[in-house]
Amino acid sequence: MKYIYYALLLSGLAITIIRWRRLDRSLRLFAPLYIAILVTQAIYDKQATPDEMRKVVFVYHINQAVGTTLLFSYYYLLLAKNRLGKLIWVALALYLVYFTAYFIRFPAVFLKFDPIDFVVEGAFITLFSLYYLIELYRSQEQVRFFSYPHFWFAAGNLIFYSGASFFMGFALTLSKSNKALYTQLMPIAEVLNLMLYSIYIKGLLCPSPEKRPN
Amino acid sequence: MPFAGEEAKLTILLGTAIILLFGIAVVALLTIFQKKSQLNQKEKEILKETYEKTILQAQLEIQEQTFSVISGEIHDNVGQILSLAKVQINIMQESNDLNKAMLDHVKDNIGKAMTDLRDIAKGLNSERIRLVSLHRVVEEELNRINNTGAFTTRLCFEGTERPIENNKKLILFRIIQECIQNCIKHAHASEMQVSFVYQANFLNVCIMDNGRGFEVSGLLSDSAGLGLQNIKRRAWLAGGETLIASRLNEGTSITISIPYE
Repeated sequence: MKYIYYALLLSGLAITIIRWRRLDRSLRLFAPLYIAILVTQAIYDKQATPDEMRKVVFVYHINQAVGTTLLFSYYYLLLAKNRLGKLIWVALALYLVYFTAYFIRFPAVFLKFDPIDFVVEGAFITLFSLYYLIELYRSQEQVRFFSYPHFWFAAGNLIFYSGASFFMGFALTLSKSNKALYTQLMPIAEVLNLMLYSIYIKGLLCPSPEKRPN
Repeated sequence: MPFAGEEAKLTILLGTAIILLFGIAVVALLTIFQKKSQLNQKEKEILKETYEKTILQAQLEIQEQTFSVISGEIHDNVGQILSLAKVQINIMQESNDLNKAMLDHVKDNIGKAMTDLRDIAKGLNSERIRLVSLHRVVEEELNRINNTGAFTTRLCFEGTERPIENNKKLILFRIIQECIQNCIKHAHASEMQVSFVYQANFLNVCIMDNGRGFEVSGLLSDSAGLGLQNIKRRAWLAGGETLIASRLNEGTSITISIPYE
């Protein structure tokens, strides 16, 4: 599963670089996102023992902040002319300020597996994706959904973040009370990740978008 | 103990599955709705295109009809009057004395020819249908037919006249012309009547004759009824409806209801 995960991430990055000139500004944000995820995953996988792995868990939280900033920026560029556009910056600022303060207040949480920042990010991304898809539908533009990259990104994000946030929210509690069950269910998150990055690739392979909703 | 055993596993699995399905359902529904909306949009565009083609076709047909009428008018009326005037002038020239009565006659004939030519010139103006009210143009058409002596025509009104959108007016006029032509060519009628009923939202135009009539259902289903089908299709494109009623040896009535806007 790990190799498929790497293959999807590397393919996504390669396609983004190859099609760089054909991609609009918002889609180019996925290049740094892929790099951040790849670096984080590589650091984590390089650790030989579970103890060593635990020591680098904080990299996930940093990656989380980077990923959130990039995804929020992506939705801002998509919905810039929309009422929600400006609120995205406010939401991002609140998110970053809150979690910086939270991790300063509870440094122990920063050094262990705690997907609270992912769950909050997931709630926002689900909302933005849903809003964007509805706007895309209402925009009256003759955009063919299946050959429109932003449709795939928004649809993938909606499905992944709604499911994964719910799952990780429970996983957080579960990891504290029933480690065995938590380990048993973890492949769900991995499968969801594979699905998300496959959908991203489909989106990146679509013709370059010419129109977008306001 | 919270989150222990099969129950917790089931809760998480079921919850995640429901949320995932919700996401998938939203995406699927939006896709389906968008496809439907695109299909509707395409249908609307096709309809608009057909409507524009119909308007163009109606314009061409009206023009053709006008040319044919004008050619007849020039040959049968103006030509005859001017020929007569020429003969009268020749007679006066040969007789060497100035016949005042004949001169007046020539003057009258030339005046009549000029009036006829002026009327023809009016008819040649392609914008005329847009500028003049519909019943006025129909009235002229009926008068012309009446003057041939082969038919007795009548124009009736009901309600207060209301303006009708120009393209619809054009299509409606062409439909009326086609109905009148059908009366002349196929109905073997001696009388025809066109009535305008201005209702609140619709204009009803009824074209009636006392001709030989036909079997409506039979004619609409075979190729001989192409003209009638064309009338129905044109009225439909203009947002209206057509009602065709006919009885053998009792005549035919075609009623077209068209909204003003």
